[in-house]
Amino acid sequence: MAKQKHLRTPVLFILSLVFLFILFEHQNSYAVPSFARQTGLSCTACHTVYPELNTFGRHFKMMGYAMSKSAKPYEWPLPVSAVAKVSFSHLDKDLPPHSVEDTWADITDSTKNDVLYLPKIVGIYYAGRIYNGMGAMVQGNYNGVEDKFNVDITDIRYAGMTADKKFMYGATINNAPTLGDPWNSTPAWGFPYEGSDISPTPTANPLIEGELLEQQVGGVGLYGLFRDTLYAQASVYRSNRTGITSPLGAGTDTTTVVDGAMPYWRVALMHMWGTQALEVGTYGLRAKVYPEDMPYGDTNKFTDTGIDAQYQYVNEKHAFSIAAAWIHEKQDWDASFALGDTSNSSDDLHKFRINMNYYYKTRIGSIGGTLAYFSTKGDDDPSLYASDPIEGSRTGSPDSSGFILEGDLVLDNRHKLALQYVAYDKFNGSDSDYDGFGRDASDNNTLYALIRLMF
Amino acid sequence: MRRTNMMKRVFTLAAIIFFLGSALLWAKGEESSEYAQGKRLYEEKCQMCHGANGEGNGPMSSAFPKLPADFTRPEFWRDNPDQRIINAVENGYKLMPRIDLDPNQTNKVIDYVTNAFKR
Repeated sequence: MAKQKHLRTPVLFILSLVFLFILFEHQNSYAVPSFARQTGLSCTACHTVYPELNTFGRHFKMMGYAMSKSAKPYEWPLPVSAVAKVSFSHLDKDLPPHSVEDTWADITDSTKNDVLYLPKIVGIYYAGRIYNGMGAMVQGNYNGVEDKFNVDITDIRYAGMTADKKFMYGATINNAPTLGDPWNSTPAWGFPYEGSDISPTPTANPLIEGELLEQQVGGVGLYGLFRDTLYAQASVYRSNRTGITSPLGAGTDTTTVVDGAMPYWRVALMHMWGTQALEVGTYGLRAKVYPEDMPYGDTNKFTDTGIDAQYQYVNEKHAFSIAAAWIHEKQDWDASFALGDTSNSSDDLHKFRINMNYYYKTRIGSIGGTLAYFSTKGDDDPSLYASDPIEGSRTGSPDSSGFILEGDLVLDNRHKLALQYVAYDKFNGSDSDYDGFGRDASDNNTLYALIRLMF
Repeated sequence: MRRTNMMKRVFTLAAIIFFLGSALLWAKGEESSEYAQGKRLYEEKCQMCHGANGEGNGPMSSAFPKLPADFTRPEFWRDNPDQRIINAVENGYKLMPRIDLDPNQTNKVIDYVTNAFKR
């Protein structure tokens, strides 16, 4: 009986893929298909390789996803797309039993350090114009890793331009800071775009970076672009745990509970010439966050400030880009220090990352890859970074660093095959026995393979 | 004998007319087909910005800070316009994305744009 259940899920998944294939394949083949169907352009009009945007892609996003080849104010058929992902992860050293969730998605062919997710995600997008200058990119997922449905990326926006065409303006409702940003040097759309769900990751990360706020908050923001040069955005977010923004986190457990309003700001200078583009900017937020599992009483305060830059060169055959970001986080542990969860009343944390991508366009698609370096450094805090198997620190230090090498093949402008290797030279403070339980930083090195199909 | 020669001449002349006519019709058909292909490609890949009449006023044109190129303006056709179109299609230029057309298709679009809009 159990074996039948094992067999049934992959079969259902494959049948679902066949159904999606039949449903969408007869239409034009594009990377983010509904955006492409709306504009009549191929995926390479907006992307170097998804999700990295090029100059036109950034403009399309800032104009509210509403640019269309149709003179009508709406899209019909509705701009709907689908995505399916299958992933495989291999860790250099086994994880302890039960550290990988025992869901139906991972039991098809998994051991302690080899995990196959079939599927990792099956998702549906509404991606395109809603009406006139209003558009959206909203993704709903079946998450195979957690075996549940959830609202994923949500960015609903309205945009326009003044009569003299010097000032573009817009408003966005979204569910993560930096999600509405048009550049790929900010966290939500920064490299790595995909990663293993089972491999351990460094404990310390600025609040604005990583997944700590994704779908945890919802908010509204205003943005503007003056003379294609000066971009500015100001947003305010609140927790999705309850209230008006809770639909933006539907299906996701709110583990990072923000108290009150969380302001986010962004300023960037950008310039484009010929086939090149350059951006230099800064962004940040200030948040009051309750200690984990205690959404009442006093809060910890986080002030994140980032500096970022991206250069991009795209022509007929070649696409090259380099992006970098440095983020400083001031952590005031008003609540956690009183509870004895931190040794210091405040800490500083710094994160730096840089990535270089190159892709070559061939007749069957784009082939290329990315080399990235990342480094996190901060104050030692033995209580905050305590010794613990896998996720702890023997030294009480948050310092981690390493490299990511990824090779990609994008077929038919939309189906992506990715092979990624993450190598740590330091993890949670040291390179050997970092957790105090005999695990080395290199034990968390991960080989990750992904197949992403878009319809 | 004379009648046979006459028949041969008539037959030869008819054959020449037939083949020449066919060749002309074929060439005209091919030309028409190339033009139609260029028009179709323009409608699929360019018209949304450059407009049905090539005046740079397609449905997406209002979203740009500067209007897309107006192919009906004589100024556009100065300074090696074919090469500028090829460069823009292959590599993109500022806010114009590069367009997925092979060189043969690009030439058909250039022919269409030249014949349809150049004044």
